[in-house]
Amino acid sequence: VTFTHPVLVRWSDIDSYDHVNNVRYFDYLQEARILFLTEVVGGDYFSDHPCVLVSQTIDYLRPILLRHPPYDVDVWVEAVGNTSYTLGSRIVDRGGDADIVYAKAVSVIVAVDGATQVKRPLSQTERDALVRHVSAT
Amino acid sequence: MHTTHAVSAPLWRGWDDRRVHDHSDDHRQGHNRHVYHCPLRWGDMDALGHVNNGRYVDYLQDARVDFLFRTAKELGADDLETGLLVARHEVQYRAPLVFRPEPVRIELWISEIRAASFTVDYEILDVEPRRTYVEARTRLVPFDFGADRLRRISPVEREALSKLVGS
Repeated sequence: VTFTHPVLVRWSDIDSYDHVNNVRYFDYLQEARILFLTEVVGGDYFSDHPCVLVSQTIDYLRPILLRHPPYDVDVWVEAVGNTSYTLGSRIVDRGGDADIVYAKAVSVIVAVDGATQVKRPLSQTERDALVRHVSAT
Repeated sequence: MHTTHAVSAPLWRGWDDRRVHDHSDDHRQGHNRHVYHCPLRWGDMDALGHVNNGRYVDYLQDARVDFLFRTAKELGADDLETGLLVARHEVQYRAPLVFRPEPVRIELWISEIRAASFTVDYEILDVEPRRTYVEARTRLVPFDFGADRLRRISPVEREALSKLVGS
């Protein structure tokens, strides 16, 4: 894994089943995804490389509970196209002997023109940076 | 009642429950879709000035809770509320949504029933002019919290859920 970001569960993330609500997983993945892109591609990400999320699929494998320390969210690049790229991510606990995976996600992102929101080809900077981080899980 | 009127009518001048929740409307169109009118919040928008991707999943959840813990319950599936977990979400973001005082329409229906899971499909849309914001699908699994394990769908639940199968 090349990139991981710790996410701390908030008290208000817990629903009436006493575990983290399914929607909060979208927020956790987003935090890691934005930091990943900022670190990997650099710059002021949304100003320099405007993009939008067009699809996201999450498989829920285990309940996440309220606790310290934080959970880890790993992010990597699965594929790079002309105007879009696909990121893989997972929420994982590395506290024990073996990694425990709580959720897996696939996110498709399209590069757009910041003013018109029309899709645009990836810049060479974006492409090179993303391609360097392509990895198989 | 035509729920499309609710979009232009002031929503909060007294609470009219039929404006939020309606399972009669779309039966007429033959698709058997449940309709939920979801109010937006200003704080749902992110730094890019549109509704954040995660908030749509909150909207879907509120629609689903209304659909399953109310409509399905009225049909006899009252055990669902005691334990129903999301196993998978698939969300396609089609167009950006910006805050407005009028609620947004969510249509949802059951697309598949299996032995120990079922699937809900959704569309978040405006009818006039027609615009789809999100299409999504959720696989749900009944869970027995007492026994701490997945359970099969009961015959009573199956019968209730089959009445909610749409397209």
